Amino acid sequence: MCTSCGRKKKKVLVIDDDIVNLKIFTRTLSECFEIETETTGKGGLKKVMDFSPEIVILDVMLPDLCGYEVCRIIRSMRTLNDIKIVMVSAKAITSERIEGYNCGADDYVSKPFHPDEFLAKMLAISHMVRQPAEEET
Amino acid sequence: MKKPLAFVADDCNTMLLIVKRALSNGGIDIRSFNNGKELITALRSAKKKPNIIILDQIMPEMEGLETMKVLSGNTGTQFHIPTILMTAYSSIPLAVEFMKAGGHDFIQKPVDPEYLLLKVQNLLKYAEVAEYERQTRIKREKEDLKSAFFSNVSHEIRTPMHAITAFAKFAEDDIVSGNIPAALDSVKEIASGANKLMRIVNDLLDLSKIESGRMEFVFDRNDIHRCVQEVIFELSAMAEGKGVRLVPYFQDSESSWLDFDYGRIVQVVRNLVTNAIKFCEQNTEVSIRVSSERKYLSVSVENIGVPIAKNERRMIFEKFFRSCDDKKNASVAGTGLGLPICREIVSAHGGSINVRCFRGITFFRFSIPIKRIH
Repeated sequence: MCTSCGRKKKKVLVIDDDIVNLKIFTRTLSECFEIETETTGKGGLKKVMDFSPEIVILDVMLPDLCGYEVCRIIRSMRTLNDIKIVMVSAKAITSERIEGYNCGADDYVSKPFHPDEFLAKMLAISHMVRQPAEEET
Repeated sequence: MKKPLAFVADDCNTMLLIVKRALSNGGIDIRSFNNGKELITALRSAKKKPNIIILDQIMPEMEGLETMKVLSGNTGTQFHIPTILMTAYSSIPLAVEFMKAGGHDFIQKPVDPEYLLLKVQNLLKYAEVAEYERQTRIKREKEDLKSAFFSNVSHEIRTPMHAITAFAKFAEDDIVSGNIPAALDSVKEIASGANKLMRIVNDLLDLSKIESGRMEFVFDRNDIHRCVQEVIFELSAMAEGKGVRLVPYFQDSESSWLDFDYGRIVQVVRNLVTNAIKFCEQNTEVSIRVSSERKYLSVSVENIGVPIAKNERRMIFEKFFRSCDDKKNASVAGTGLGLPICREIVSAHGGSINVRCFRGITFFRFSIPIKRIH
C-alpha cells in the first residue's frame, strides 16, 4: 500500500543501464510504486512478461537494443496493450521525442527532470491505467 | 585569379604549337607531352595540377582513348579534370567511346584555334561550378557532423546534470528528515556528477584550444613508467567495477626517461586506458605496454573486445566524429573528443598515434621521439 494515498501500489519497471539513474528513479518513485529494474533491453522485455508492470520507464540508450525498439516490441504484443510506456532520455531534440511517440510511447521525459514533478506525472499516468476492479463494474 | 593550366598530349609539334597559341590568347598556360603515358606520369607527380587536359587520339605508346581509360581508372565515371579529345578522323563512335570512358568533350581536326579556346573556356567554367558544388557539399557535411556533435555533447552534459539536480533535491530532503548517512550518500553522487561534468568541460576547453592553435606544452625530463603507473592507480577502481585487471609491461627502465609534457601524456594514457576499460569484455585484462624501438618510445594499450570497423579506424581520431556503430556505442558514453585530443597532444610531441585490431584484440599505440625536441 502507498503510505501517502493508501491505494495499492502500482507496478513500475525501469529499464535503464545507468546505475545512478536507477538510483534516482527508485528513490523518486518507491514510496508510491512497486519498483523493479533492468539494465538491458532484452532483460527488460523478459521482465515485462514476468513482472507484468502497469508502467514501463524506458531509457533510449541501452547496451543491447535501442529504447525505441524495445518500445515497438512491447507495443506489438497484444496482451500488453494496457501498459503505459514513459520514455526518458537526455536526448532532448524534438525529432527524437517525436520518434519516441511514433514508437508508441505514452510520454517522453527529458533529463534533467525534477523528481517531484516526475513523481506527480507518474501518479497522473497511473490513474489512467485501467484497473481490473473498475472493469468489472 | 591564377592562370589556368592545360596539359596537352600530341606527338605532332606543329599541333602542339597551334594549341599553345590558341590557349595563350585566352591566358591559359600549357605543358605539352608527346604521348599519353608521359602525360599520366607527369600528372601523378605534378605539384600544380592542370585545370584541363587535351589529348590527341593517334599517339605512339598510348593513344587518347586508352589514356582516358587509365585516367578515370576504367570506372566509366567522369574524370575530375575536364578532358578533351582531338581527333583527325571525324569519327563520332570514337568520341562517344571517349566520353563514356570519362572524357568531357571532343574536337575535330583540323582544329580551329578560336573554337578550341571557346570550348576550353566553357569547360573551365563548368569545372569551376562543379568544384564550387563539391566544396559546398563538403562544407555541409562538416556542418552536419558538427551539429550531431553538439547534440551529443548536450546529451553528455544533461546526464551528470540530471544526477546533480536530483541528488541535490534528495540531499535536501535527507537533511530535513535528519537522515545524515543518506544525505552523505546523496552528496557523494553530486560530487561524482560534478566530476563527470568537469571532464566534459575540460575536453571542450581543450577542443577550443586546438581549434585556435593555443594548446600549450611544457616539455621536461620525465619518466614514462611513472605516467603509466599513475594512470593505473587512478583508474583501478573503475576497472575493478568491470572485473578488469590493468597490467603494465615495461621493457626496461633505462630508456623510460625522456622529454615530454607530463600532464598531457598522462591525459593521453588515461584516455586510452579509459576507452580500453569501456570497450573491453568483462573480466579480461587491459595491458599497457611500454617499449622503445630505435629512436622512438611507444606505449601500447591493448584490450579484448569488438574490433573497430576498418573504415572507421582513421576517422575516430577526427574531431566531431562518432562511430556509427550503434551496437558498440549505445551504452558507452562520451563526447568523442578524447582521441582527437590525444592525437593533437602526441603530434605536438613529434609523435604519432594509431589503432590496429586483430584476433579480437584492439591495440591503441602512440610513439614519441626519445631525443630532445628542442
